[in-house]
Formats: sequence, structure tokens, C-alpha cells
Amino acid sequence: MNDDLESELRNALRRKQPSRDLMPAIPRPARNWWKLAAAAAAVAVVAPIGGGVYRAHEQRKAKDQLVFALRLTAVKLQRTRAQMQTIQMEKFQ
Amino acid sequence: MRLMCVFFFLAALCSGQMLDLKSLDRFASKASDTVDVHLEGPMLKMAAGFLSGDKADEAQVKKIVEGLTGVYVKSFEFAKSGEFTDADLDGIRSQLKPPVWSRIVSVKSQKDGESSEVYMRATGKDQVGGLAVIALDAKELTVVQVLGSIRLSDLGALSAIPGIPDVRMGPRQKEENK
Repeated sequence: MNDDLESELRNALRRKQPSRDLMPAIPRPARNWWKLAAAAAAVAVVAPIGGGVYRAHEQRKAKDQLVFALRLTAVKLQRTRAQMQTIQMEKFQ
Repeated sequence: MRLMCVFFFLAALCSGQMLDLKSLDRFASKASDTVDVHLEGPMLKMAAGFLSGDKADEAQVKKIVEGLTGVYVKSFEFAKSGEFTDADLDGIRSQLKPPVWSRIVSVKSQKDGESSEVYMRATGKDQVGGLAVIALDAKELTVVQVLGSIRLSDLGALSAIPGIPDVRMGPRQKEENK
């Protein structure tokens, strides 16, 4: 009886190789650190460039809107003046 | 922060500065072309900073922009006439009242169906603190407001310079971009 129990205990406590399913769940930081470092470096380089490009695009868009708005105002004022001149000329005729 | 923004927005409205043009937004769905420009504060400074002093048109704009605090445009172009009435602009006109705003010109042409109204905001002796224009014709509705110190002679010179950038939004613009 005691022998059986001892044998069962030995079996249960015997060192075993982990199953293949379990392998991916175990992190291996030492092997992939350079990939993480490369990704972080890429983000650090690309993010400011992307931000700069976006900011330049927004600036150009705002500039175009500003030029357009002021030109439109000028055109409308000019048209108003032309309308007034036309009406005055019609009164004289 | 949000409360502060609301406070400043209401303060600007109450002081008779910025016009509330939201009543015009309903025309965007009917319009074939829409222009909506809202530039003020840091955005206006950013746009001005991007203007080149070497190009003739941009140098002219740069000169005008120096004294400005806000530029707002809503313009709608329709495929057919009758999409709006003169009364649709009454909400805007009610904001352009004395003593802050004075209507200096109102022209209506029955023949062409065009009308223009020009309002000025006087801030002191011989100083114009803002300008508002309501321009209508059968198929187009435009409201412009320019705030800040402005000289009309500078603005007039601007219309003679070619090369106006196209910032329209709408079906026609989308087709042109394809």
C-alpha cells in the first residue's frame, strides 16, 4: 500500500517537459528585445515627421481658406459698387 | 475648460462681434457648392504665418490679415433658383444692428434678382473694426464677416489679383477632384 502511494507520488512529482501548447504563452523577452527597440525607434522617428506633414497640410488649407475668404469679400464689394453705378447710370438715362 | 469656451463664445456673441451663422447650415444639403470658412485666433495666425511675402497676392493678403481677428464665410451655390428667400437672412440681419453695426449700402436689382448689403462695425474715429456682407442672387447666397481693423482700399486691391484658391465643398468639387 505504502509502495503504491510512494510510486504514485513519484510519478506525480516527476519532472516533465512542458507541452507544445504551453510554449507560446511563456514570454521570452531576452530574444525579442531588439525588435521592440527597433519598433520604438521607428515610431520616435516617424511620429514627428507625420505630425509635421499634417501640420503643414493644415496650415496650407487655412491659408487657402483665408485667401479665398478675403478675395470673395473683395469681389462681393466690387459687385456691390458695380450695381450701385449701374443703378445711378439708369437714373440719369 | 468647456465652460470657459462657452463663456467666451457667448461673450463674443453678446458684444456684437461674431455673427451666429448657424441658421444658414440648413442650406448645405440643398446646395451644389458650399463654402464654410471659420478662421480666428491661433488658426488665423497660423494661416497668416504660411503666407509668402514674395508672391503678390499673398503679400497683399498678409498686409490685410495683420489687423484681423476673425474671418467667417458661408456661401451656398444652388443648381436651381428658389431654394431660399430673402426672409431666410432676417436672423443674420437682426444681429447687424446699431450701435455696433451700421448698414452703409443696400442695393437691390429687380432685373437681375441680385441684392447686396454691406455693414460696417465702427470702433473709433475713422477706424473700421469689422465688415459684413450679405450678397444674394437667384442661385447664390453668401454671408461674409471680417473682424478686426481693416482698410477697404487694401481689400479692393485684392480682387484685382488673379489666382484665387478654390475651397468649395460639394458635389461639383468632388467630381473635379476625381
